[in-house]
Amino acid sequence: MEDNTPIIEGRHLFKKYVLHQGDYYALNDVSISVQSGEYVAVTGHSGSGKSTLMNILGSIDAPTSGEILFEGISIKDYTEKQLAQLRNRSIGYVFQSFYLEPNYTVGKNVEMPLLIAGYDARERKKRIQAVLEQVGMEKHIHQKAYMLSGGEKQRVSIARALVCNPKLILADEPCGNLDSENTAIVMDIFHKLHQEQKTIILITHSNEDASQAERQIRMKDGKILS
Amino acid sequence: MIALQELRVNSRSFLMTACISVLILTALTAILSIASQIPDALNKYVNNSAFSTMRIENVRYEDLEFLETVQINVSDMQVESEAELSVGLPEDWLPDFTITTETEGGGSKYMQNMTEDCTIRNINQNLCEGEEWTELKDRQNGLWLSAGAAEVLGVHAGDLVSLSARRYNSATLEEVIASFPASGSEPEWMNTISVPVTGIYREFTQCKSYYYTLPLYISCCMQEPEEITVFAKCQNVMHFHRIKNLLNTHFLSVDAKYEIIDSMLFLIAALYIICICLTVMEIMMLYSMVQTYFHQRVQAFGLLRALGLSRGGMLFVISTLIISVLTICFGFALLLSPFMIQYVVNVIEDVFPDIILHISNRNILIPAIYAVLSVAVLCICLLNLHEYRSAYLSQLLRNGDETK
Repeated sequence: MEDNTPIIEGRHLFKKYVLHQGDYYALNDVSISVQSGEYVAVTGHSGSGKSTLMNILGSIDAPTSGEILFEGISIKDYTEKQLAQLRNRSIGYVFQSFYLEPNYTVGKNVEMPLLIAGYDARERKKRIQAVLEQVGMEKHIHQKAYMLSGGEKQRVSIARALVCNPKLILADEPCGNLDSENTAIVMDIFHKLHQEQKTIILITHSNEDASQAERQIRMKDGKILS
Repeated sequence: MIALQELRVNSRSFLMTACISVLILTALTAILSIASQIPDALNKYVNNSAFSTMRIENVRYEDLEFLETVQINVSDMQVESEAELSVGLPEDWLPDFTITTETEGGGSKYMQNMTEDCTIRNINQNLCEGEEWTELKDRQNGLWLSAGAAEVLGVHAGDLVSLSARRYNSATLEEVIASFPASGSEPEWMNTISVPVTGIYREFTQCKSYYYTLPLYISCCMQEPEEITVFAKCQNVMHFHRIKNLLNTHFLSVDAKYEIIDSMLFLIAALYIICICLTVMEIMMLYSMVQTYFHQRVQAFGLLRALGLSRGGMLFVISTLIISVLTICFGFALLLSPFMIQYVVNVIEDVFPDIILHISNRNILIPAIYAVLSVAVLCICLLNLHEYRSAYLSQLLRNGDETK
């Protein structure tokens, strides 16, 4: 890969929903490019299309038209298995609603991507320990997820996103359900990850959170403003 | 690993359905075990008792070959002819010294591949002298005497005896005795041949004093037997009615008491119908289990997919999970079924005391049912996954939020 090849690029992305009132474009000719090691914040009001953009960039959703290139390679023709591998190995997701399995322990929640990837037990244990230390949750490894506070859940969610050592981290409103204290902790984690040359795309409606990123992209009505 | 974790986490939600499944599978296993045992038990009962013996009358000599092609065991054969044979010693043969008048004999035929033939089997099993009744011997002149008859006549295997055919329509016994010449020469109405005793057997239940092969009868009477009555039993009672119909098309009179067979065949059919119903119920239970599971775990599936699990992997996880639940249920069912079998066997034995059934759940159909249910689970999972196929992961995650 050449140095100037973006880690992820979206070209002329459209996402159309057919509604009773007529067609609705969640994304309307959006093009975006993120370089490796960049920390990008995508901001905009609710319904501006930022979450749709994240889902499409993370191959959780498919665009109506347009193309996504990961490390310069179009994923349009990827098979279901290749896409699954891409999601597992190269992309880490952090969701606003955490999406932790409440009845699993913290360790089991973080272990999930490693099980899917097929790591052996020793490697899994090592990695889980490392990422939980990274987010300051190592003491909670045996605690059930439902017993955690919102901030702790989000830190576990970040640990789960990091455990396969992905090239790109996509965070969709990671602080949306958190108080200011926990928001600061989570944003601090993202800051440290950026210092470790991780590529981060942060979706947020908070200008304060977005200001911590090195580049901001504003969205409105499915289009990029700047 | 993921499937096991899912099983552990969702064990409570599976508990209710699993309990009902255990009950259904226990009943299914028990009924299947009993239903599959009944034909054998009935075969044993029928073959060890005089019940449901088919009496085939007016069988012609040449029809005996046809009988060999039918799945029956010939238990006895009576040659019904005007000619009656008498056995005596050759040197001082007199009708009133024969054993014919008091303890008569009978003709029989070794039927190919019919080792269950009761008369010949009994002769062979009780043979104390001479040779067994085999298919080869059956084509020759052969005569087997009971030990008592041999003692009366004072003969051993291999000794010559006289065998005479006498016609009642041409002479009465008194006429026979009155006209019997002192010189020992034969009158016209009588044909006598000398044959060696092929074998001597110990008396068995309902045995006759002597048995002869049909060729010997023909040699003696100089005619084929016109009427033979064959007593036979079905090799497999499950085919009773088919065989009876087949025999009815060939012979004028086929008679058998088959109420118990009909009752048992009805019982078997009823049990198998119950098994089918239970299998369908179990499939419905599994369907409901999978549907509920899918509905409850839609977000978890979305998350697993987002974390990199492929659709194939998803199918593997879910089907492994449900098949694990099914296997556990089957395990419990196998443990519990002997108790249910015991209960049902007691009920059946109360109604049919002669039918002996075992308390065993070893049956080839049980793994087959397990395989059918496993395939059904796979199909149900595939169908469910197909429903989610059109949905994007983001939709699955959103749906999960809505469900919550």
